[in-house]
Amino acid sequence: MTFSLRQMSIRTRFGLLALAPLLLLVTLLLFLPPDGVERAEWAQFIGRFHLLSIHFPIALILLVPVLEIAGRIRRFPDLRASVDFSLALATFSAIVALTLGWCLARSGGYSGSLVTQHMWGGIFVAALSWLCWMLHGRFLGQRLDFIYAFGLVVAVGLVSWTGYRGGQLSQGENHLTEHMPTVLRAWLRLPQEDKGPTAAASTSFFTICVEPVFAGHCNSCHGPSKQRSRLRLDSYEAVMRGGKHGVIVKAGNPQGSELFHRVTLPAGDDKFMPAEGKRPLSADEVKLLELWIAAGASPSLAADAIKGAPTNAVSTVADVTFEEIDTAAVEKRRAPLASAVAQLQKRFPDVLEYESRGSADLVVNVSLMGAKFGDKDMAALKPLAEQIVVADFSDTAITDGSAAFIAVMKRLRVLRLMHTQVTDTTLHMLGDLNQLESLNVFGTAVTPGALEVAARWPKLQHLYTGETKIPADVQVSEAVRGKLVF
Amino acid sequence: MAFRMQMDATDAMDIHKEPAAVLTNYGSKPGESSFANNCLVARRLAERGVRFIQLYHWGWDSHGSNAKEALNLGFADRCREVDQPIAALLADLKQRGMLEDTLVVWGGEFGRTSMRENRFGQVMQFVGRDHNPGAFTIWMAGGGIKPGTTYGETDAMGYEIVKDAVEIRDLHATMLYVLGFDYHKLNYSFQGLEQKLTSVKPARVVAEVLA
Repeated sequence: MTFSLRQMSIRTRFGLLALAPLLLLVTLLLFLPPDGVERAEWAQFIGRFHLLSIHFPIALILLVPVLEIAGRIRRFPDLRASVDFSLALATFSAIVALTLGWCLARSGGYSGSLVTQHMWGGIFVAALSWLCWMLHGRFLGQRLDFIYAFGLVVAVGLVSWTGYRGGQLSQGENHLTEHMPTVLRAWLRLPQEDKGPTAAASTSFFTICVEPVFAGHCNSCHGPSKQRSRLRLDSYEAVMRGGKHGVIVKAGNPQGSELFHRVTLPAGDDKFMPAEGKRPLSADEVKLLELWIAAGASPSLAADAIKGAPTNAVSTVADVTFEEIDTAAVEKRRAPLASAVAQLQKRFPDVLEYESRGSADLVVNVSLMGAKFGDKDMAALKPLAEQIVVADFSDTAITDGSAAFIAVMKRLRVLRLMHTQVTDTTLHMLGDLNQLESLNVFGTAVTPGALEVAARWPKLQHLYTGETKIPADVQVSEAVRGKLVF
Repeated sequence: MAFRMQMDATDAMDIHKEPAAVLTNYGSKPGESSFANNCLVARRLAERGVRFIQLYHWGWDSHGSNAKEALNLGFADRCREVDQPIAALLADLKQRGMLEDTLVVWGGEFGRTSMRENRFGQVMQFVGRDHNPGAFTIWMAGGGIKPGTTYGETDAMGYEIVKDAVEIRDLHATMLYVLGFDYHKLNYSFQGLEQKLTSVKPARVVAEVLA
């Protein structure tokens, strides 16, 4: 008997076509399993579409027995004709979803038996779907047709189980039973649900002192979203369960506990935690872990039972983050000003700049022009007045004649008028600059009479009044008093 | 430009133009070569928009091998030479509102032991201390730094760090941050490596000292 591609039915040809990616996926699973390491971001991004695409093959596989059964009813004889097509579509869409799933698992830092079971479940579902597709109708009316029926039943069972495991992966292990009513629980003889950690009491040393340390330093990699080395530190049970390298807490023995060991290694050590230059635990935080383990790593021991524990140990300062600058968006915001800015930069070189690379706000500093800049030049700034957030007119020839031009710079945060001819008149005209944080009138003829306007600046932090006619012991309200710098 | 620089620079350097009260605050005598005069010039340069100013003061290698290096003699003089001008500079910058956007960093390249140096086991004639690279102090004032904060701790001997260590690269990352730089991005390709001012090891901005 000879086989030739041409003699094969379309179904067999497509079937063979589907076999190749299926075998490839099995190979990937065997040799490149998910190992808890995070990889390329694009792979994670694509992988997330697994959650979306997976519902398609599931629905199709569940549809097949429906078609088979409903098709036997005399009224819908045509339904069974769709079975073949549904199975083919189910197989191919399962292959797509499997590939995405592998991308997600491999690159998203997943590991452990849950994800492994879910993946093999997926593979077998796809394989069964393929098998059913190949067997469908082949032994029609023969005894062997029961293999097809049996395959379908197993496929439905397996797809349900695999889907449930997948749900546990993304929604948490008890995602189905989480909100089950107590009555139903009792009837099903399920354990009564325990809200929060079973053992850790809310007034315990663990909850008050230890958990915040984990939350602040560890849970971004060992928590609900990622489980590096299959370790979670977001509940008492998880901490005690440990991870890939086994148990990490040995009650009563801090020095022998991996948890304590890892955070007390020299900072440069490869195994030091937190890894990758993240903020290390403070000495007080390390002390809390040590005391807790030494006292028996108890979930319920009261917070005040451990003497000598550092208080307020958990650092509340958030790490600095750098935001990516969207240059296109910045360009867009700068576009309406661009010609006015260019014009002004040409007229007054080196005095006008954007506040930062990510900003369309302007900083003006004409102090270096000295007496060459005066009231008559102020009009030039007018078209951009509302974009100026920092303005330095120190050492220039401006007088109260400029006040009206400064008053329209509604968004000014910092204004410097050091060593100029401005007087109280100017300050009185600036009362509406409600964004003002810092005003410098050092070395001017400003008098205490100008200070009443200071109360009108809600955000004011500093008013530099050195070498003015304002004496250091000036009588002003407490609120203004604290802001004066002499 | 050369002309402008020569004209402007001489003006900036001319501390005769400062009022007597300012000279007294700094302990500055025009014409002398002193750290006090340098501090005053630094303020005048900063006023004129100079972006980076380094003041150097030497003679701090106080091993105690001679009178100039003795803790109670030369070292005490060094302290006197810098103490008043630094205070005057900070007060000046603060008064003029310049401390808002000026970062002042004071430091050396290493610390000194808290115990006396006695070379070869012999008690030395003068009292001095050896190098201590393990722990030392640097302070910062102004731009973006939280006033009145101390961060980090040594053991009781002042020998090693026991708490909240700040590596040099962390200090640099922090300085770059307050200057408005992302230290991850500020790099240049050289010899096959993306060279960074914070070196290749992971650095962190010490957020605890930021205002």
